[in-house]
Formats: sequence, structure tokens, C-alpha cells
Amino acid sequence: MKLTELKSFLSQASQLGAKAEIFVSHGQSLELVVSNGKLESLDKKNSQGVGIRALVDKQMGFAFSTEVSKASIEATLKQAVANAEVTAPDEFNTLPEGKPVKGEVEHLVDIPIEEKIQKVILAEKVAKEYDSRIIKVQRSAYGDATSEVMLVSTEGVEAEYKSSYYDSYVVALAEEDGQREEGVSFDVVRNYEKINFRDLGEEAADKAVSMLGARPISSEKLPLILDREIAAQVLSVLANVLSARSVIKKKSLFAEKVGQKVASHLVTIIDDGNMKGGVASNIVDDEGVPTQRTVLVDSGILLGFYHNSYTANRMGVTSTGNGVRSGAKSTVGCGTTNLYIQPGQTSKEEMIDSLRRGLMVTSVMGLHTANPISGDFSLGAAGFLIQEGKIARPVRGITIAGNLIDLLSKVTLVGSDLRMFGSTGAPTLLVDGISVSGE
Amino acid sequence: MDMWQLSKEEIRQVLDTALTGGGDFADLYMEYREITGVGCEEDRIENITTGVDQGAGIRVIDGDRSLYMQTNDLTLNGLLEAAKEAAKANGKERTMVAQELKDAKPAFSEVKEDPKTVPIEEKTQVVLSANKVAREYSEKVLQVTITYVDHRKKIMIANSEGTFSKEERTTTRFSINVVAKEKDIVQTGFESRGGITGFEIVRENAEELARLAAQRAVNMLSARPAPAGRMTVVMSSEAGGTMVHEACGHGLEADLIYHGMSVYAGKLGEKVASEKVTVIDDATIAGRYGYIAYDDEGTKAEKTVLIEKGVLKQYMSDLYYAKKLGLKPTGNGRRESYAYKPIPRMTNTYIASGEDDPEEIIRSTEKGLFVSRMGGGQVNTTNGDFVFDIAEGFLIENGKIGNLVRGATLVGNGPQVLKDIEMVGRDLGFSLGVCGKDGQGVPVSDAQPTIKIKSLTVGGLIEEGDK
Repeated sequence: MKLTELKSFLSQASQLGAKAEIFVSHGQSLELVVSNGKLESLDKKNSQGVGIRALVDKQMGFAFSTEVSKASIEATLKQAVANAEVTAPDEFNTLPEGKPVKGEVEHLVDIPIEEKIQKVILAEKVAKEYDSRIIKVQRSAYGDATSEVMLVSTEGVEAEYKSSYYDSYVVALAEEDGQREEGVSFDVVRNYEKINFRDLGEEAADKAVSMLGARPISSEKLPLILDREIAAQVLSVLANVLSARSVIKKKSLFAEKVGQKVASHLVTIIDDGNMKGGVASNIVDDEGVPTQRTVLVDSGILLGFYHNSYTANRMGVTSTGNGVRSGAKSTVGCGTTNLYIQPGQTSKEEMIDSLRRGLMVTSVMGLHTANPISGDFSLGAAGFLIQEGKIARPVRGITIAGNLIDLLSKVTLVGSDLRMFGSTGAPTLLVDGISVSGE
Repeated sequence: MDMWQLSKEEIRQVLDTALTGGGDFADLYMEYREITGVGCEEDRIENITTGVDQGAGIRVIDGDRSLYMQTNDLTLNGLLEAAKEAAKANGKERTMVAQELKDAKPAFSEVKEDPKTVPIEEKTQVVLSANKVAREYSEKVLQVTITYVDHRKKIMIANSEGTFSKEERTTTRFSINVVAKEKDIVQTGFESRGGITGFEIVRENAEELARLAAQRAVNMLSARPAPAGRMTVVMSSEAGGTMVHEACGHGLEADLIYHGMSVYAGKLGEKVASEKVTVIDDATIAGRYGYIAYDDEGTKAEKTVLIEKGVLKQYMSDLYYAKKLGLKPTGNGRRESYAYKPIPRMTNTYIASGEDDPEEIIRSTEKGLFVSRMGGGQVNTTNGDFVFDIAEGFLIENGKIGNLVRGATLVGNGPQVLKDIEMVGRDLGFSLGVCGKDGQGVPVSDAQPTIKIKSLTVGGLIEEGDK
């Protein structure tokens, strides 16, 4: 279906007395898993869908279908209008205005499947040969996906964009004295050339081997070094309190704190929909609003929140281009693009060196149980005990607990090693006194 | 388009086309799903979503490898195209033909009140009444979020060995999250109910769930932080079954066993738990959230005894890993949707009731933690370490339930915890959830009686001044 054809349905919406927005996506994806130097599985998906928002007076309805045809679009449009009529009116409901735009982000280069398979086999081989204690590579995998989106609305939005990404991960198993530990590495990028399969293999193997011999430590309050991967995971939960939607829903502890200090002066948090090479970068967001770079927290001071067109309308500001959908099957939410903590000056080694006794956290369990509203967290953790400025031994079977917002204020050093893990990134962070529960 | 109109021969033709590129097995999974969702927040119906989600997945298994093609096109032509792509991806010579399909009678999940017959206005009314109950519970209630969803799903499964099944599943689910605030403290309370049931489950339970969620959120405001360290833990049958799900459920899934990613690998017939412990996965419990008549590969679902009186008896398996491990498939091949190939998953998993009096279990505990509600959890199956969240807990002092505590994760090691189960109550309580694995979410329920565990690490806070 062409954009012009899609636009023709908009007049039908007008006839039904509705403003409307039609989102159509087509996607292709591939996933490869190898085992013992051979292809173990190949999954290919061809997906499509249409999602329609209809605004009748001040009531908004949504409907979708995974069948993209004239008949299904017409039926879905009628259904969206019918759904609008059952929802509560809201004077801030809006479909943003727009103009024709077309964009392509790092289009998919044509690489033969055989070459991709060889790269994944390489990652597996590197992991296996890294150390004699690596007994198996449980999974070495590669994936890529392309999606093409067409978005039109009665308010003038006419956007067409194409994007793709590539990912790869390795899970290695190490064994010693009957104890087994796993190590996982992954990367998600916009450009195939950026995946370093060799590094991923080494990283997974190193993580697995370094955890051998891990055991709990005693319960005590300790300074924590949060590995950048863990810091990024923590940031993804904290993202909730920076969302304008959470503020509106009375679910953000930052609601009344714009202009105030909410974190250590070393912490700057940015959402950047234009980041070069960013996995979530695009010309416009999923409601056709141009994306931008938004500084949310600047040297510890809360500057504002990220918005879609509804939250912006309601709070009397302009959208920051954070209208995000997870596909045609879902309506527009308020989500982050490329979100990261700005890097600082300190190396990880300097952080380790600065501690008489501390814990470096390299993996956490149960992050989905952290409360994004209260910020309270209690997580299973593993990592390394640090004594007298040196890594003493691996640790597992413990928990770390506290409050995520509190944690931001306790940051005493920010690493220089920012890395993006998909669309969220962070440098290594050093935080003061956190409860560690062990033996 | 109605996929049940496809003839047996047409479906066989699709499977046979998939085998033209070689392979010893091919299967087809087709799904057509109608969804209705109601969202209530800020004291009003905020959104109504309806949708049609349809698609198919064709899989070819060739020795040690599998190839999977997903399409949204359920026409015969669309399916044949996907089958050709699967054959092309395997790229070998044909070795097998697809067998004639057996006859299949559609299996229906019997529900009292089909949500399709309930007008949308009535659904929003029930949601709004529940919202009102939660809001009126206390002035401290700050926000109430209710999500109602019903699904009507038609599934058709066929494979090259002649298996053919049709099933229609109706699922209804209601969940409520209440946020309460007092001064600077914010707490939440969550409740949900649902399953392979009709609208009656919501009509009968919505207001009570709303009251419970509001009560929990408000009570939690005055809870003290949980302590830190190792202690005896008593888990109420009301607490749900997250612990058994994480401590041993995942580790007994055949794919993890095969890949050496489970502490339970190679231990069939061995004692892995206290003899008071029997663990069962039973897909056949009507109405439960993990209920299925057939799994997503067309294998008849069953009740599988995993651990019997402490001895490891069986793993949960799909067809692929059953073959690799030389086991009997147990009807645990499940998938989130047509977009994914099936993998071994739990259904309704529980620790069977024992003989101890639940009251006596608490009385026998001098000092410890009583868990009255569990939240989510996670496990590292490789080393057996797992965590689960305490949504509500109390201290036990001198055999009596004491102060309410909040915000803690419990961490333990699966095989160790199973051995440390000292008492097993004669009661049993279920909870439901969506279990995530390899990026796929499937509905499950978990259950356990009241149990006593000798020692677990409680991830609470160390107060200033503590040692």
C-alpha cells in the first residue's frame, strides 16, 4: 500500500465526524542461533499491522489489526471511532499537526545469511577458546530487523520512515569444582559493521569465568560500584519518574521538583532522539512529531520531563518527540528514545582504587520488581568484593536494597566509560553506602 | 477470513511444501485472536482498545536445527509462501512427505459468561465500580489503575506426522494497581484475577480485588522496612507460588536441561528436595490461568509429577527437546503467539499439599519472616540462585505474627531451598502471572501450601546504628 492510498481513508474518518491518525508498519526480522559450530535455529518474521487513533470531539479511541487491506483498514477505522465514543472526554486529547517528511535511518545492508552465520560461529569459537574452564557456549546468536512505517493523519501528518537494527548475544558457561556460572554479553546497534563478534565472545567467557568461586558476603552497608550495564538497567527504571505521563498520573516523585536538586551534581541525564547511531533515533516520533535532544537532569538539577503530544498539551508545553509505540498493535505512549547518563572523568580502575572495602555489582536479578513509583528496590546481586583498592573475590547470593532516587543523590563518582546497551546507556557509577544483605 | 475453513488436504499441502527443502518434521501453528481492553485511570475510562491479531508460524526441524517462518497472511497462498521460504532456508533435498492429517474436533473452553456477549458499556461499568471502591477506601489513595482484557483465541495446529488439533480459548483478566501516599511515603497495592474463564470472574471479584489492593497499599504506608540477613521464612498459602516457579520450575524445563543451563540436569531419579516436597505441573486444572487442553504443538496437555516426595521424576518438555533428550513429551510446548516457536514452559505449577497444620507452622517458628504475598521473581537456572519479591510480609516473633514489613526481595538457591523446606501445610493457594522467557510471555499459575524454610536471605535495609 502507498502513502497516497492510505491518505484516502482519512476522508472516511471525516465523514464519520472524527479526526484520525493511521499508523501502518511492515517489518522483517531474522534471528540466528548457532551451537557447536553449526546453525541451530533460524527464525524469520514478516509482520504487518495497522493501528488507528480516532478523536471524536474530545474522546479518543484506538483499534488495530494485523491484516493490512482496504477492508481491514475501513473496519478498524470504524471500530476506533466506536471505541472513542465509550471513553471519557478529555479536553487535552489531541492529534498533533504535521507535514510531509520522509526518512531512512541506517538502512539494512544486504549481507548473505551464510556470512552472518559464520560471524556467530566465530563469537562462539572465541568464547569457547577463551579459557579451559569454559565448558560450553549455551547460545551464540545474531538478529536483525527492518521496519517501514507510514503515518498519516487528518491533521497533516504524512511521515514515512524506515529503520533497522542489528543485535547479537553470547551466553557462555564456565565450570570449576562442580560450580557452574554463566556469562552473558550483548550488543544492539544501527550499523552491522559495529558489531564486534570477537569482543562479544570474549566478554561472555570472561564474565562466566570471573564468577567461578563466587559466594555471599556478610550483611553490611557498603559503597557500590555499579557496572555501566547495571547503571543503564537502573536508569531504565528511573526513566519512569522522568516521564510526563507519570507526573500527570501522580506516579512520579519528581512531580513538584522541577528546578530543584534531585541527584548528585555529577549526574546529567539526557534523552536524545537524534543521537547519531542511536538505536532509537528517528526523524519523527510515532505520532509524527520531530525528535530532539532533551536534557532532563542537568548537574543534578531537574529541568523537566519527556513528553508526547497529550502530556505536553496537558502541561502547557511542547512535545519533546517522545510519543512512542511498541508497534501497530499499541497506541501512543510516552517513552524514552536514547536515554543516557552523561559520562564523567573517572576510570573504573580509579574507582576500585579509591575503596578500602566495597562491592562492584555486575549483575542484578529481579529488577522488574523494583517499584518505579516509590523508587524502592531490593535486588538479587552478584559481582566482586573490593578490598584495599583491589578486586578480592567474586560474590553471589546477596541482595542490595535502597531507593533508586536516593541512589542518584549518593553518586560520588561518574565513570568516563559511557556505553549504550540498546537505547539506554550509562557510565560506571560509584555510590555511597547501600544495604547489602548476605550471610 | 476464517482459518477453520482450510481443508485438511490444504493444510497437509502447506506442511508438505515446507518439507521440500529437506527436514524430518514440519508443523504449522495458526492463530486468530480478538482482543478487547479497557483502561481506567484518573477516575475515568481512559482508553478502549480492540483489535484483531492473526498469524501463522511454520517450522521445519532438520536433525539438530530448526527453521521458523512467521507470517500475518492466513490465506492458503500466504501459508504456501511461508512454507516455501522455510524450505528455501533449509536448502536441502526432500527426505519426507507430510502424512494425512487425523480428524480434529475443536476443543472449546467452557465459560459461564462469554465476554463477547457482554456489551462494552457493561464492562466499563464494572471497571468503574471497582475504581470507586478503591478510591473510597481511604483518602490516602492517590491513583487507581485498572486494566481489563478479554481475548478470544482460535488456534489450529498441524504437523507432518498427522497431528491435527483445533482449540478455542476464551481468557478474561482483571488487574488493579492502587497508589497510596502519606507525607513522603508512596506505596502500591496490586491484585489480579483471571484465567480461561468468562466475564463472571470479573463481575464476581472486581470490587473485592479493588478493596484488597487499596487496603494493601494503605497498610504498607505504615510498614517498617524489612530487616536484612538470613532468617527462617514461613510462606503463607495465600502468598502465591512465585517461589516454586523460580526455585525449581524453570530449572526443570527441558531446553535448559539440554543446554546444561540447569542445576537439575542429569538428576532424574535422585533426591533433590526434602521428602515433604512433591512438585506438580498440571495443565488440566480447568479455569486456572495456565490451563490448556492441548499445548501449542498439539500434544494433549497433562498432569506431570516433577518431584515426588523429594525425588526428581520428570522434566517438562516440548516435542523438540523431548526427542533430543530421549524423553516423553509432557505437553509443555508453549508459545506467546504465532510470532514465536514453542519452547518448554510451565502451566499450573505447584508444591502439593502436605500434612502440617498452617497455624502450627507459624507457632513453631520462634523468629523469622512471614510472607503473606509474593510479587515477581527471577532465577539464574545455571547456578540455581533465585529471587522473589515480598509484596506483603510480617515479622514472626515467639511463634506469633508481628509487625508488617515492606520492600524486600528474598534470595536463595533452588536446590538448597528445596532441601530446607521443613514443614508443608495441608492448605493450597494459587496466584497467576505472565511468565517471561526468551522474550515470550505466557499465562501461568503457581501455587503452594503454607511452608517453612529453614533459612533464606532477606534483602532488607540495614538501619543506621546496626552492626
